[in-house]
Amino acid sequence: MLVLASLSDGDKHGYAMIEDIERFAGLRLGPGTLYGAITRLEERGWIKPVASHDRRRPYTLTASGREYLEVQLDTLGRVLKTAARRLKHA
Amino acid sequence: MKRLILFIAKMYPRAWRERYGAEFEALLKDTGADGRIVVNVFFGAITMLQRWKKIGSVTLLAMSALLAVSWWIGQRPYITPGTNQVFRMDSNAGGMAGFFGFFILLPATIVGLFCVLSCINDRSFRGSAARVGKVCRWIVMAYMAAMMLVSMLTPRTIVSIGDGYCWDLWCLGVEQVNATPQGQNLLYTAKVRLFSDANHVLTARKKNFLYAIDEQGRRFPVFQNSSALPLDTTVRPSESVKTSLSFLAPANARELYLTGDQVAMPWVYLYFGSDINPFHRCTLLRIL
Repeated sequence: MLVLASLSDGDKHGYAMIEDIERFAGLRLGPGTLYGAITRLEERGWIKPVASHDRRRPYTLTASGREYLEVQLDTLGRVLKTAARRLKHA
Repeated sequence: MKRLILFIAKMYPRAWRERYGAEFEALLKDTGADGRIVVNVFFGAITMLQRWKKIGSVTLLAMSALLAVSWWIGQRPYITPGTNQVFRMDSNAGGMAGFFGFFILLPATIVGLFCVLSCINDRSFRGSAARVGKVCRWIVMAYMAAMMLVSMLTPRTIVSIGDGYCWDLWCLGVEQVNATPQGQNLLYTAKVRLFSDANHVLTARKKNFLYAIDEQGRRFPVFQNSSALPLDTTVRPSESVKTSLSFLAPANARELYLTGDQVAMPWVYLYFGSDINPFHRCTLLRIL
């Protein structure tokens, strides 16, 4: 989810994703964790590599990845709203 | 540290490295190197080995089942006949084989280490060193697996009264046991003989080496009368001396044994049949 969120505003290579995720989530992923996620996401067809001359290969969101992220954000949004509403009334 | 991380990155499956290796190494160069990254890359490699080689859960399940069955088979203890025989720590099934096996493991580890260092430092040896390192890794893994299985399969030895048992070169045999009530407890006094299995050297153990244990795993310290020959007496080769020891145990203890609190060099923990091998059921000398 963090990787998908990071790629939602444009293509990024591994290090750029680590920096970006740290900025917006306050969490610094290790290289092993990041590439574990990249491997899984690519297997599921949610991200794909972009051709590059550099060894740092950028990744981009696929249409199904974008769709999955939207569904997840929608669910998460509803959970957050419900929790916030219930906290207010508690 | 960077070299260590790049070396750990080589643990990722070959197919994964062919696909992601170059970009992963580029990332490792960007992220810098510290202990946290070493651990992260190591666990990442383990995860990928499980996922890409499809060995994960099935292998783990099979190994757990094999170990559980081995443990179950080895449950029934071997009780010595009590006819004045001497049993040795390394005489259990596979004990000597393990001892010699260890001397294969040791050079394999040294060669493996050398290969790893060559792999990192010398590019011209890289290919062959990596291959030798891989073979050594397999030898070490095979030894560990065999050691665990044999240890699980080997039943616990219970040395009957009358027989002797040697922890390495220092041996002890229980000859007679008396129990006398003392309040809520029973005072057990055992006549024992200390003897040596050595041919040339003197042997001795610390005074507090022995302790008593019951079927529930409760430990009872051993003590001696001031008139008895101390347990830390040095024994000469082929010498046998008699002494006595005592301990207090609750009257409800159904089984009581003597055993030793051993400390040894780290590699002794990896011997087949060694009483301090964590997978081996340690030998007990019956008192009750």
